[in-house]
Amino acid sequence: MDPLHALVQGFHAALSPFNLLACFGGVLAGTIAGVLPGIGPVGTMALLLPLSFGLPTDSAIIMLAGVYYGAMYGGSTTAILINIPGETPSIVTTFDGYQMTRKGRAGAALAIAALGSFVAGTLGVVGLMLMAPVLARAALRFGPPEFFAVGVFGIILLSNLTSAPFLKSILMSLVGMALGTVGSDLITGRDRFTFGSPELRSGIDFAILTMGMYGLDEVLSVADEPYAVPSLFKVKLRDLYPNREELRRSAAPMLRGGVLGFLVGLIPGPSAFLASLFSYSLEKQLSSHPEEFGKGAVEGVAGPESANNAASAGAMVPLFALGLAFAPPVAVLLSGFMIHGIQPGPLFISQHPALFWSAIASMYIGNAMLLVLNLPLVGLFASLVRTPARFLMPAVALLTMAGAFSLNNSQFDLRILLGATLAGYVLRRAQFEPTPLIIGMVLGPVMERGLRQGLIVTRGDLASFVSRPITATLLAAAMGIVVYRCLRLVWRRPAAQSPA
Amino acid sequence: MRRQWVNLSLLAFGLLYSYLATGLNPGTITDPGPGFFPRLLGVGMVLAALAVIGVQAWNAMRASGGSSGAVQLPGRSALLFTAGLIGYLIALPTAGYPLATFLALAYLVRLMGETRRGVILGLAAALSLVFFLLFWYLQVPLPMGIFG
Repeated sequence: MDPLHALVQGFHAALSPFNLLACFGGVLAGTIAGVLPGIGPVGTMALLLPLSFGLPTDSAIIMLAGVYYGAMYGGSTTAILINIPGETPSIVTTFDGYQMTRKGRAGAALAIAALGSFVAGTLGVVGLMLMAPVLARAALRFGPPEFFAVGVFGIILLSNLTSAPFLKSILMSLVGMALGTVGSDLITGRDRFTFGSPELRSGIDFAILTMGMYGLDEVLSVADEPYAVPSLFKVKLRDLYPNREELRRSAAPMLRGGVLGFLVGLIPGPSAFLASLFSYSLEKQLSSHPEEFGKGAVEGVAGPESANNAASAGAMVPLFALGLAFAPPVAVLLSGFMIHGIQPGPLFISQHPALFWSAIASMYIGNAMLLVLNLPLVGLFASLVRTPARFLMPAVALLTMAGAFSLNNSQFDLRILLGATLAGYVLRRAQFEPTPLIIGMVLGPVMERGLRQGLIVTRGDLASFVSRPITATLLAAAMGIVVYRCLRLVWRRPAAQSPA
Repeated sequence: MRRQWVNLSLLAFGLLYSYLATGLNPGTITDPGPGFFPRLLGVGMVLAALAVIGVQAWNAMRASGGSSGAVQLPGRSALLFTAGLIGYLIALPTAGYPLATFLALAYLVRLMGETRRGVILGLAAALSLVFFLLFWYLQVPLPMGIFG
């Protein structure tokens, strides 16, 4: 089936009333998650995971994906209005977005952010639509050694890019991979690290860990240090129009942000945040008025906001094409597929074309919905941030626990959830990031299968294992990053903070 | 040492994992068994943890001023909040979702600083009902306990 025809079929499915409702529910939940402090897209997606059980597969994926890219829109609202980024990728938006607010151009900043998110989000979906099938076809030539090498490279690159020190990220990845070995061995079926527990035989659900380390952990942090309800800058609907000059100056940054964001989204790690940071740097370099950056330059809002939305689409390419998740939100999406009995990977698009194309079509629709939602309702979304923590946090905590219980109808999962929450709380304060742990849990089984099957196929010949071009390239790149980090460690001057 | 207790805990985890992995069959290089990958991971974890401990200790010796490196433990509110969630977990099968949720919400809202009894009880009741109806509508099974 040619792509255009397939896309039309996809729109036909995505425009069904139920799927439209699922899309709307997802983008709305995502926008709210993006606006509210203490609640992120990962926790929200994990929370909605059990609620997606009763939905058809395509509706569930549409809803979960909607939360992911919806949160990118929501995060910019508070970044612009009150200088508090709703989500990490919106940190960069505070540099100039809030300055525009102080100059009385809040409405224009919000409109530019929403428009840029729409343009770049749509560009990102085009990229996803074109690249995923191509990469999937290429991945059909991947053997076990290639998948092992992709996993190694992904883990090393992720550890290099997180905000936590490199060695600590590596350690977290290894802990995550270790947790991923709990349960039945993938090849022999033998129980590993189950201690006779029937619950552990099916392994530790990484969605539960995600809920604990991203959802409840944030709730505990707010319980310790409740945020002060900020005063809000009021924006009227009639003020939501950028002037001609602002639109002219935003056009190119939006397009550049879209392309850059999509490409950065392909790499493991906090790609949305990195995309917005790179875009800001790029726009500042290219601007004929770089001195305006940090003082309300509209390019400083248009570029980063476009980039972080496009990155969310780029992050889904490895998922659809390879079945690999390199970011926690995508890991939750992977979980959503698996709950419904679908394994994303090189054969996914050819075996489930209707699901792939309806998901793609729904992203176009979802981006349009977000543009419509975010502009007129910006005042409403912004006022959500005034919800007192003493009401919001208990509700989020108990909703999370109910959601975790309902995943597998298991009290045991609740114990895992609370354990993960406390572990995440302590680990963050010791400068350990949970992202490598979660991704390690997801990639570990892939790497183990690749390594063991690769060794079987090559009869233990490591030389032929690493002589395959793609494997050799990826492993060499990973080794290069490790060597670079080790050299930095040796040559680095003593600092107040540990570089480990 | 006190500042490195998290790193040491992770080292201990790595050592324990490595020890447990020795109980699994590693197979051979041509036919790796279920213990092959865990042994590699165990060694990797121990080495990584030792490296983290070593680098952190080295930098603590050389650094002039800066942060103490001490890990902040959960505060009183976070601990009490967690205690509430643990209580919820224990009460859930017996009391059932609606009642356990109502009691937990009331406790947590009060813990977070709300003092008006009417608001506490009203909010707890309203949210419990909304959550219950949401899960019921989505056909998500929840324990009913005494209401079962």
